[in-house]
Amino acid sequence: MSAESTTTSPNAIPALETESLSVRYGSTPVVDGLTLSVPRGTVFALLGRNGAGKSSLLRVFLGQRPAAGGRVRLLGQDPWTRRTAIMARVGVVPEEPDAPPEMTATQLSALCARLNARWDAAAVAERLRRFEVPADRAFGRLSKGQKGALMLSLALGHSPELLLLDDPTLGLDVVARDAVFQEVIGDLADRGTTVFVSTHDLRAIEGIADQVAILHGRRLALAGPLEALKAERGLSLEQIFASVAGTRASDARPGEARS
Amino acid sequence: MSKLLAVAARELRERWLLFPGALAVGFFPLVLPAFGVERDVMPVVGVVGAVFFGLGAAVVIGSSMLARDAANGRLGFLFSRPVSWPVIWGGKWLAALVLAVSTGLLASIPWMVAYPLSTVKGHRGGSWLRAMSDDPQGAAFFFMAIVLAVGLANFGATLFRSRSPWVAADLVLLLAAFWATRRYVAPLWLYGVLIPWGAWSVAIALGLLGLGFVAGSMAQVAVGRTDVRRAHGALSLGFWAVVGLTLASAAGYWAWVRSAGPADVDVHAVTRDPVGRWIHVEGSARRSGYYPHGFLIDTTSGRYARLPGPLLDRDRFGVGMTFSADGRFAALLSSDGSGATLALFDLGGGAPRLSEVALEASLLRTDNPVFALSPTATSVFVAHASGASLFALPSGRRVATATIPPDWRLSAVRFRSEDSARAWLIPSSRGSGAKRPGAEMRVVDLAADGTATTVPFPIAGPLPPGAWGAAFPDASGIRIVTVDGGLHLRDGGTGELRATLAAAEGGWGRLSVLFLDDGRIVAGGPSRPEPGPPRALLRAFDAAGAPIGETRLDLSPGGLTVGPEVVPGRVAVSSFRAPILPEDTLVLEVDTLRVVDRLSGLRPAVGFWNASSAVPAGATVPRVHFFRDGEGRVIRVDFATGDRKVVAGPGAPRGERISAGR
Repeated sequence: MSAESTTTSPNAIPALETESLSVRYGSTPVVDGLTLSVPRGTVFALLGRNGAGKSSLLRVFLGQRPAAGGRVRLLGQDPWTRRTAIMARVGVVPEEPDAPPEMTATQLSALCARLNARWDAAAVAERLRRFEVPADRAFGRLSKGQKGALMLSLALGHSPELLLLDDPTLGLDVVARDAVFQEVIGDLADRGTTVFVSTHDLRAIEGIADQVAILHGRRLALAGPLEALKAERGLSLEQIFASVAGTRASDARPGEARS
Repeated sequence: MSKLLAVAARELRERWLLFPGALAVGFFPLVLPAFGVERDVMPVVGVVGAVFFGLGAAVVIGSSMLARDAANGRLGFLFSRPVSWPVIWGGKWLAALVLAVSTGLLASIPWMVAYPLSTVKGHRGGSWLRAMSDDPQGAAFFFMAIVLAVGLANFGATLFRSRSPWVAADLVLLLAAFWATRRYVAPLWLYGVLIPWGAWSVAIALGLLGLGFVAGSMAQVAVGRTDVRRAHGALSLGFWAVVGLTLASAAGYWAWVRSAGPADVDVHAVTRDPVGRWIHVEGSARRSGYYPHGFLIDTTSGRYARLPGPLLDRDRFGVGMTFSADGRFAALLSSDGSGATLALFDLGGGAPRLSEVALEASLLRTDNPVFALSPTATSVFVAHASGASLFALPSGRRVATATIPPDWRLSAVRFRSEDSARAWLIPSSRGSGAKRPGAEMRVVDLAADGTATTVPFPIAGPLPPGAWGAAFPDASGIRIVTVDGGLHLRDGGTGELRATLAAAEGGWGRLSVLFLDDGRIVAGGPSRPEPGPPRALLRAFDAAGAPIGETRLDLSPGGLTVGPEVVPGRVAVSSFRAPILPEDTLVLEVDTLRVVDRLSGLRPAVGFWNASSAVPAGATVPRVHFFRDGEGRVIRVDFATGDRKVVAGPGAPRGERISAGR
């Protein structure tokens, strides 16, 4: 057997992979037996109603919680034991912006520059300018949309191979949502960055996601290429979500899974 | 390192207002003189202010650096960056320590500048910086206090913010830790076990507590990460693991300290049974500070039982053991202030069998309870500051009692029979009667049928100070010798004068009197005033008090002790100068008052002054006696065979340990 045949190309390794993954809070199961794979270079949307366990799952992906069972790999590594190394290649936008409230965007970028070996401060500044985020205003005094935009800018500052977005548009107005997703689509599509996004914004994601997965009842209810799923069922993403998660589209705000 | 400093700098930036705050506190002592406060007090105010500000800053940052950030979801910012947990943990702790120390120093600068050390009363020259550098221990203690403040604040804040079931576990473990500290750590200090460690013992204890906080917070970050509940669990496990190991080590050390056997102790006191088989010894071991080890030793086999030491919450004031005249029973008296308990050991079997008897009494705490067992231990006599009672055994029921008036105290007690005890009371040395010629003594008779009589009788002169050395009864309490301005033989029940053994001659000093088994009396003490240094004088009298003869001995007259009667007609005489000074004991033939033997370096092993055992009248004089040497050893001497053996103290054989079971 040749050396070539035994060596796995880095690009062949899924950006994110789980196998029978379980997540628990104490004795309460949150996610059970989740098996999925996120190919590199795709935009993967994880959908689910509130409390479905999406954020908990992301904390496990980020190595902030251990898995209760099963296996998880980010860029081929265990995030619980290899978190520091993995985070050099991963960008994160949390559901709740968690930057220190007393620091300005410039200071945050400078802090991240000290924490990341690779940091493109100019690109971050440019992105902040594009998002119209004040560079010298304390993070705690920014609007919700500005905070989201700043977090996204910081998440992309080190050109991550994988970007994890946890409901990045939650609470944002339509303009801000479009800005976020345009950034995701425009900036990342060029680089081949893998995007894993957990969102309620079904309409926005419908246009950009390559693959979707729906969490329901602690389990993976549906997963696959978005276009194939839509064609197979002859339904929109919103209708698919409603049929799987038990939510009628009319109960949700337009374009948004019910919370 | 750069990442660690970045994390620390971020923490400091958030709390930058503490720095000008510290400086403002430092100016406070400068304005106080305007309100009439003395100038020399200012540095004290400044030091107190700086210390408290530094500790306050430690608490502020300690309570927020991890717990608040985790609860607010802000720790995720660092955990979603390529920053390892040691860097996150280290950066936050570094910031906490820098903040607390630097604010403490900042709060010192203004008043140190305004009041140079050289201008402060009592100090000549030098500077505050020199003074601080000359006191590394103080600086180390301040630093340790800051570590403890940061750790404690972090623990408290995490506990408060997590509101997890671990809170209940923490409270239970906290109570358990208090219990264990009181049980295993406090005695190490209380009994001076840690004295050789000096201030290190405190530093180590605080250091281990600080280590617990540090280890706990490391686990909190390493395992708990951004989840405050999980972080609380990890913190608790880390902290309690260190504290638990520390307390377990202390418990182990305490157990080792207490595990000393009779061969390990320097014996302080010995009580023997009248038969000569069992002895009770109390002593201290080198490894155990002042802890009083107590053993009940079978001197024929070397087997021994360890007696429970005094408990912190149950001071055993009745230190010492008393034996019944038949040698079958031994007893210890203890009291916790609400009642008295007699630990009664049955020595009849192979091993002592313990039964605890609650006495029907509420004994007040007192320094000098006296207790004695009846010849076959069917009753016990107990006297304390305000009363004397007879209790039936094993019921503990009080069968007779008499009041001991204020300014009176018990001098001696004897069981006249199984059912009746007789005690002699003397005026307390604190009262006026002790030194007044013509004062009185009292005889108290208690009987199992409930009768209690008190008979006063006049005495001829002032009694010696203290409770002991004033009255010497015979074994059955029928006769008594009093030292009241002379040496008088009296009726034990009425105090009626039978004979004057010696008139007051001045300079008597303390006397020792022994009734021999055949009724003769031997008294010893300093010689009458005469030219030259005082010498020991021994006098012998017949049973009626008529002189037999007297002799001067080559012994120090101070602390002269007559007794025991080692074989019929022969008495041991010794003197006592100090516990560590070797003494010789002389054995005299009473008929001739000639020295027939000299026990070099030995003196009779004496008991506890507040426990009383007496050989019953008419019993065979035991041939086995116990002596103590200058190195704390107890030597058993059989005067019938001449055999000697060490039974306790350094060099004693390590006998089998037996348990004094119930």
